[in-house]
This record gives sequence, structure tokens and C-alpha cells, in this order.
Amino acid sequence: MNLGLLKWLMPFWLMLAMAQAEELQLITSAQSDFSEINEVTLRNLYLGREKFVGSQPVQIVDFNNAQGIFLERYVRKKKKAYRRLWHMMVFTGKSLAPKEFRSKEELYAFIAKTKNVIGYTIYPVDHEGLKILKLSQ
Amino acid sequence: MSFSSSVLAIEVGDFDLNVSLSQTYLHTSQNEFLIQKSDEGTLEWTEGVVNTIKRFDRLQIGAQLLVRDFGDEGNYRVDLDWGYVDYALRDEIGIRLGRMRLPYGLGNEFRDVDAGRMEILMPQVFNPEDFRAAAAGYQGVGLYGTLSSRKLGSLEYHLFYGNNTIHDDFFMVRDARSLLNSPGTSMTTRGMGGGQLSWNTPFEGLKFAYTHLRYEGYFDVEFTHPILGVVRDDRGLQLNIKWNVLSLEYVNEPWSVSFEYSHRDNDSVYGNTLGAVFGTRDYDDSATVSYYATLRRQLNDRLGMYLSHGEVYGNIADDGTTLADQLKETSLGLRFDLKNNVILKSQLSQMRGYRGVISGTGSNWLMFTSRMTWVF
Repeated sequence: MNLGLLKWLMPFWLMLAMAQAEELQLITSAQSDFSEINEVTLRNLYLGREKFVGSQPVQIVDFNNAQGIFLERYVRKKKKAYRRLWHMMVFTGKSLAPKEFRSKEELYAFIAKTKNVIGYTIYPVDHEGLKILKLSQ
Repeated sequence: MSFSSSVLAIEVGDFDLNVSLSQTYLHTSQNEFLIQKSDEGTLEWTEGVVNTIKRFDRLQIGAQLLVRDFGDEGNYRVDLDWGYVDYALRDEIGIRLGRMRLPYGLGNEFRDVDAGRMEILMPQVFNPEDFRAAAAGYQGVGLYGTLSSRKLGSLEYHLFYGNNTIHDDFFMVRDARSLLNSPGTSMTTRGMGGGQLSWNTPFEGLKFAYTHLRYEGYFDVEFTHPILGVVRDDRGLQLNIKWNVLSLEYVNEPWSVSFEYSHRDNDSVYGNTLGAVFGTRDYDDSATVSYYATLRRQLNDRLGMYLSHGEVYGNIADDGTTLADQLKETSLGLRFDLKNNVILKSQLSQMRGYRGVISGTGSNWLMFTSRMTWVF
């Protein structure tokens, strides 16, 4: 292949690779009772306004490496504002704060072993105990 | 003990402990306000809370202990701030038993959560700090839930009934004892109930709320009359107070604005003995109106500032005549997040009036407050 063409295509390949690496996906345990969640419920769960998906009580978790993108896209809050919100939830006893994970391995292991937990990732979902949660509008 | 992977907590064994400690400095230019010797500057305002919450499927239990020193109140007594058993059937309906936070307007449930808001003090015309001991929570039963709709947003409700414990160091009891020279005077809550509806509208960030609260309580009064000698009247002063509160909040980061309006109906009477002594059963048949607006701006990741103005008018007679403006407050303040868990705040307020003043005659004065909070 023409080297000039390769050089010209390189930035596009890099962008494509980065986009794939940063593809945000919702995940839950393979044992969970649901496989789909709507965007309003997802947002309300992370705002502490709801605790159920359908009739099932759920637990939410945060993943440090993807938190910024997730909050911006689905919760529409900045990290600081999100943290303040959960301070209010926790210190009034309204709700338990989401656990926050710093490594993909710990996150995947926790969700895989815990039924009805919702989390998110930007890495390939390569753990057999997990399933990707479909987002409906 | 180790730091948990949780957003906020310290992990101790199977428990996540959430801890907040704050130290406040209060300095007023003339009057003693809220705390004795505030006109000389005082550090007698320290608060610490520790809580833990556990969730088992639909069941949630939690408790928070509060240690507070607020001038003559608290003196580091350890109180159960909240502690409850909660069972949620679905998002639409849940029930709580125990001691819970009292929903009143936008801020009362969060009044001690310094890390959660920009301001040091909530507007003193609306959520006076000296009322905290009576207004922070209730013991009883609460029904709550959230009804969500994609098109209409979400509607949260909280209905409650119960009572609360008024300690003898509550400022109204201290004032009554001092006024009547009667160490035997005490205050009891007979019942408090009401509800709050909050509508998170589909218009992003816009929220409306309505709160109704009814309070019934009484003072057991004992004092020495110049002619009759020692007079004791159990339920000598009976309080019957209703509040209706309208709230609006709009958040469009980095801006947010809040506006609240409260109308309080007082219908308080003397008991039989005191009524006979004073020649009337009427103690207070008036209304109190208060409102405030606060504008906040997060300037960068660490620094935020706010501007607030509020007014409270009391003793409004049935014919609408305003007899006294109790307090007008204009505040400007800053919040600086030194670290993720260390917050510094300062606030300067211009105050006009006497609501909350312990002693002093200045009608136009300044208040400076500064606070440091650690939160885990």
C-alpha cells in the first residue's frame, strides 16, 4: 500500500480505535432479572430518585474510569455536582451511595456475582458473568 | 479501618461509615445573634455526624448520630439524628418507621449536610438555625414514593405523622424559663404531620415543591406571680401552628437559583390557669410570612459563590395589617473545595431587624460566618 495513503489514514484509524475503546456500555450481572432499562429510569437511579427497575430493587455502581462520560451523557451532571447530590442522599439517610470501582477487574467481578446491579464500562465486556444492558428511550 | 471504594464512605468491617465534622466561626457587628457573645466572635458552633446505612433487597436500615455544640444548646450531647427501618414495595410506595428528616421546603432535610450545598447558613429568615432542634426531624411514620413519567417528569411525595423530642436547652424553653424565672417550664410536642410534593418537571433542572406542616405542642408553665405566688399550669401555653410552603428550584450548571415562600398561621392559646391570670386565652392569633431567593454560580471546579436575599414579616393580623418586619437578610458567600473532603466557606450578611437576636438593639448590622468541614 502506498505509504502516503497509510500516513493519511492513520489519524482516522486512531480515532476509530479510540472511539471503540471509549464506547460506553451499560452492564449488569448475567443473573439479573432484566436486560433492558429506559433512559429516564437510569437517570433517576443515579440521581437517587428511584431504586427499582420494574419491580426489582437494584443497586447502582460507579466506575471511576468512565464516570465523567457516563454522568455527562446519562445523568447530565458534573462530577462535583454528582458528589454533592450523594452527600445529601447519604447524610439524610435517603439512600446508600453507589460503590465506586477503580479497576475493571474489580468492577466486573462485583457485578458478575451480584444480581440486579447496574454499572457501566468503556472496556470490552469479556466476563462471562456479565451481560450488556440494552438502553431503551 | 480502610478507605472504601465507595464514593464517600470509610469502610469498617461490613459497614460503610459516613462522617462529617464542621467548625463554624460566627461574628456579628453589634447584636448577639443565635449564639451568646457572637458580637465578640465565637467558635461555639461545632457539629459532627456519623452514619451508616444498610440495604437488604427492599429493606433499608440506617442511623446517624449527631454531636453538636451550638452556644448554650447541645454541649456535645450525642443525639440520634435519624434512625429508621424502611421498606420499599416499589418506587411508587415505601414506608419508613423511626426518626426521619422533616421535609420542609427545599433545604430542611439537608440543613446539616454542609458538603451538599454552597451556603454556610440557610437563609435565617426561612430556616432559622435556632429552630433546628425542633425542625430537623420527626419520630413516627412516613410514606414516600416517586411516580415517574417520560413526558411529565417525576413526582416525589412524602407524607408523615409523628412527634419530636424537645430538649430543655432549646431556645424557646430557655427564653420562657428566663422570662418567667421558672426552671420548671418545659416544652412537649403533641404531634406533627403533613406532607411534601416535589415535581421534577420535564424541563431539565426545574423543580417545584409544596409542603404542608402542622405542629401541635405545649409548654408546661410554672412561674411566681407577685400576688398569687407560684402558679403552675400544665399545658399553660398550647401551640397550634400551620405552615404552607411553596418552593422553586432551577439548576442549569454552573448556575442554580432557588426561591421559597412560606406562610405560617399561628393559633396559640393559654391554658385555663394562665388564661385566668392574664384575663385572656389568646396568646398568638397571627401569621408570619417569609421568603428568600438565592442565586448560585460554580465559578470553577473548586470555587463557587452565592448571593441571597430574604425577608420575614411577623405578627400579621387577620385584617392583613403588618405589624412588624422581623428580619431582612442579604448574604454573599463563597465555597472553596480545598480537597475532595475538605471544604472552606465564608459568608457576609447584612441584617436588618431582630429575629434571632439574643440581645442588642442594633437594627442594621453585619454578620460574618466562616466554616471548615471535613467529610468522609
